[in-house]
Amino acid sequence: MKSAEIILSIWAHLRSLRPRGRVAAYYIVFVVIACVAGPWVLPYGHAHIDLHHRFLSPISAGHPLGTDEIGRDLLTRVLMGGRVSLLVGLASTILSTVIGTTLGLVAGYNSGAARFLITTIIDATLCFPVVFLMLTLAAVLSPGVGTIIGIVTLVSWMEAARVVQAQTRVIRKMDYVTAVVAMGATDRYVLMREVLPNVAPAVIVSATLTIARAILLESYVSYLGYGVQPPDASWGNLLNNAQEYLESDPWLAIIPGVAIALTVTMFNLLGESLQDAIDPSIQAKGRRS
Amino acid sequence: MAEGMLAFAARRAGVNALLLLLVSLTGFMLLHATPGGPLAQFSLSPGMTSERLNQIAHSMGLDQPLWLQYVKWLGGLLKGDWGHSYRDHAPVLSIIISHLGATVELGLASLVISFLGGLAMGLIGALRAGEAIDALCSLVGVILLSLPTFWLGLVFIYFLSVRTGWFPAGGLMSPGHASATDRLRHLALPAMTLGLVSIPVWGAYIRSFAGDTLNQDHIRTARALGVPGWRIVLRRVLPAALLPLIPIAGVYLPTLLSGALVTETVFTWPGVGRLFLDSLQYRDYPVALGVLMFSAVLVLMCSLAAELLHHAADPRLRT
Amino acid sequence: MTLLSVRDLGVDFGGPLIVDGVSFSMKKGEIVALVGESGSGKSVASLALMGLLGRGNITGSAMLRLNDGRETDLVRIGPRERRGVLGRHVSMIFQDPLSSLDPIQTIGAQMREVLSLHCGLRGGKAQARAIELLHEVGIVDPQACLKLIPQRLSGGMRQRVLIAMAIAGEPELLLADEPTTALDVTVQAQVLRLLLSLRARSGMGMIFITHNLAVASSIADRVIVLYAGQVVEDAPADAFFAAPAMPYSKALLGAAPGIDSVFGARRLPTLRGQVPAPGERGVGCRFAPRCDAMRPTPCQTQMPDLLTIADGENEVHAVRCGRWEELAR
Ligand SMILES: Nc1ncnc2c1ncn2[C@@H]1O[C@H](COP(=O)(O)OP(=O)(O)O)[C@@H](O)[C@H]1O
Ligand code: SF4
Ligand SMILES: [Mg+2]
Repeated sequence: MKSAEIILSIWAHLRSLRPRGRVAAYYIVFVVIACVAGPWVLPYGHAHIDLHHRFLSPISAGHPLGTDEIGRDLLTRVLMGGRVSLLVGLASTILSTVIGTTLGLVAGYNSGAARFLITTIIDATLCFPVVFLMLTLAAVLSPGVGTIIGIVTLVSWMEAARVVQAQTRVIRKMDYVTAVVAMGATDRYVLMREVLPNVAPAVIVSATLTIARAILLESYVSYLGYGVQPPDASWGNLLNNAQEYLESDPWLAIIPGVAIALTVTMFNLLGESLQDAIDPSIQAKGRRS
Repeated sequence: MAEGMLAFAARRAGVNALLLLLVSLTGFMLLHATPGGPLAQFSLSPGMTSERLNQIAHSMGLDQPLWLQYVKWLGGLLKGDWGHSYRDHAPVLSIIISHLGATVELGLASLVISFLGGLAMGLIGALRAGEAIDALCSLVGVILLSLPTFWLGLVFIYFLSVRTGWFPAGGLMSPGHASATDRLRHLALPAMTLGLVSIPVWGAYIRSFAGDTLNQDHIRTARALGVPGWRIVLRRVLPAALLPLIPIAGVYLPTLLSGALVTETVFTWPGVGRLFLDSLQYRDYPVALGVLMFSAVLVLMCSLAAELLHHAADPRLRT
Repeated sequence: MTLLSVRDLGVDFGGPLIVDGVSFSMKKGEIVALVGESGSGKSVASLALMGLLGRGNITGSAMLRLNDGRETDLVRIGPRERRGVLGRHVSMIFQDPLSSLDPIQTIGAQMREVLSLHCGLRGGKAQARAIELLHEVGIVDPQACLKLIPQRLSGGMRQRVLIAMAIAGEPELLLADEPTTALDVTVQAQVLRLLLSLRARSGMGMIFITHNLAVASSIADRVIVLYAGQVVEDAPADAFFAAPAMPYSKALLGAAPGIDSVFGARRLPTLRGQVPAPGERGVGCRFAPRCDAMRPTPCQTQMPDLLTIADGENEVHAVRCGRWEELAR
């Protein structure tokens, strides 16, 4: 019953999204469908090399976005890369949300040592230049999609933990929770039945923003050559060699970058709009009365 | 915030100590305990025998137990002996310092750009809260926040260097040219790249702090006493928005290093970020570990400096 | 001589009128208490006069006669002109004296700002004048006070500082929105005495907003009662406290036994029910749902006018009640 309530409240929030957020939601659905279905529909495999048609510029016959330095169809590569980038974003976000929510619940519900330890770790991880940490990890571990998901998770779980921790602390102190506890409810019951449903909207917002950041982080690491390895494509590693051909074939750099920038922007916009829908007071706060 | 000052200080100290220990331990373990380990660089060179490899390992103390190596290394760090590069045997600390200038130059220039941009964006948003221009500012902020730094750098290189020839595409300066304008021209694109993507960070905080201040009663009092709007912004809103920004800046500034690393790569800018990447590439672990530790120390120093500055600047914190 | 003449002041925020056809006038040096329960529109009305509402639609007029004989309409003037009026001809102080001062500037800096703005004083002269003003409002060690930030002052001291800043430009009119509500009773009395002595010295008129009739009785020359955005009674203080004509005023006074002055009284007025929300007003008298003297006609069928029931030389007395004559018998 509780989970039905959660879903209903999420649905209500989605319906009250600002136009900006709705556009973002449509875009995301579109991109996901395109990346999943596109490569099947398109005639070329993403690794289909055609040395007779190298460096075709966009809007060439049969290659809407042109071809790369060994004649692979760029559209197919962008869509394949999108699969990987979205997968990394989604998987690491799910992992970090689970980890972050769990730690946040523990830290917010308990006072004392557990909270101190967890908040300290959160703070420490938050203030570290993450790309250094990621690269170190990526350099010593064997590269691949699984590795990059793990690494991105490692530097992304704090946001959910912070949000959940703060909210849990507030909810714990509420009168009705105190009343339930006084009536002998177990911690487990309070956490699952009272706290979790109330933090769920905030967790969803933080997850949306985390996806955006995760896609961006994956692109950094892959761009620097420590992430997804060629010939597999990801939005980051499509730009690996692009700098070399920047002068003659700039679209090789521009197009995958637009894919990243646009998608990350849309996830951020969706998160922002969800935030507003969930807590209109934040939006109104800056307004002068 | 029911957290007392003492608890806060304790937590701060705890965070700092833990951070240093965490970074040193993970960094050390990662680079020493993984397959290949610190010797990977040597084992790859042609004609290397296992005998010779053992010899090298012994001479570098790599045959000792890991914990002992860690303790020795940590002790050295404290004494200022950060080890030697595998590549050219130069002391790690002096290598880092020799790359520091370029990063500081890039960091400061981008800081000026991002701070001024964020200030303008935040103030406009707060003063015109709820109006179209506020929405526009927040939209621009979200977009800037979502741009991959390296891609923005490539776009700048293509349009402002390759196509127009206005700026050089990379490097610290033209060989043989040491003029100030030449250096500024080289600095322009990387600083703009790193600066632009950091604008929304300042912008969002300033928007929120300035908005809070504008809603406070004393602003209304000032207006009731006939204080002009620009004076209210300058004397009341701005100081109130910048004060809480100081500790945030202390936490945020070191994370600029991440952006600097990517920017330095795109623009072949010889700073600490590139040094780190290069040393990872060549498996020059003492240097990589050194940079990692250096950034952790930087985090601590920045947050400490920010805290001191905040205390000095906020009259409410003085006793 | 008339200082301020408010005609048909109306304020809405896109919905029903929050301030609805408020008219009154006041003489030079007069202290008018604007009373009414919380939510009756006192703050909105005063902020509208100051041009500090931010948003909302304001109608009507509020003619202020300046010392130099000019007249200006506080509702109509543009922002630039208003800046010349605020602080110099009209000032305002508010309920919470802590949040009304900038927490990160010293008292000295905040006073100097006002002095340079309105009196053109800088440096040593501003300092001397600031000390003089603080002395005038009863601060014992003005020099030390100037160096402090608001946090370090008590509530009473802060309100004194705010009064000093408000009178720095020697305005003809001071609006005070619940200026003593946040203070202890003894401090409250001190601040009221200070305001009375300032009026005696400078002849500054005052609109004193309060929901506390005891406070009103100890400071006001005249009392204006606001109910649900309307003036329901406007009377000289003596007449008002001796024989209020509007059932609402009677109820307010009846709910506060032994009102003499704030220097003795303790209780705040209480009444059954509450002010109807702006959207929940009937067509008739807005007080009808709570009124003991209510009769379905005329009370629920017709909005009573604000009738002048006595018009002596200085003794205008007006009331908004369809049954006031019956009730007066
Ligand atoms: N900015 C505003 N927007 C909409 N309604 C407002 C605003 N300010 C005040 N109100 C409404 O106006 C009414 C009168 O408020 P106020 O003047 O503060 O009452 P008082 O000062 O007499 O206690 C209240 O119902 C309040 O909700
Ligand atoms: S008009 Fe009627 S309801 Fe209103 S105050 Fe007079 S008697 Fe009461
Ligand atoms: Mg009020």
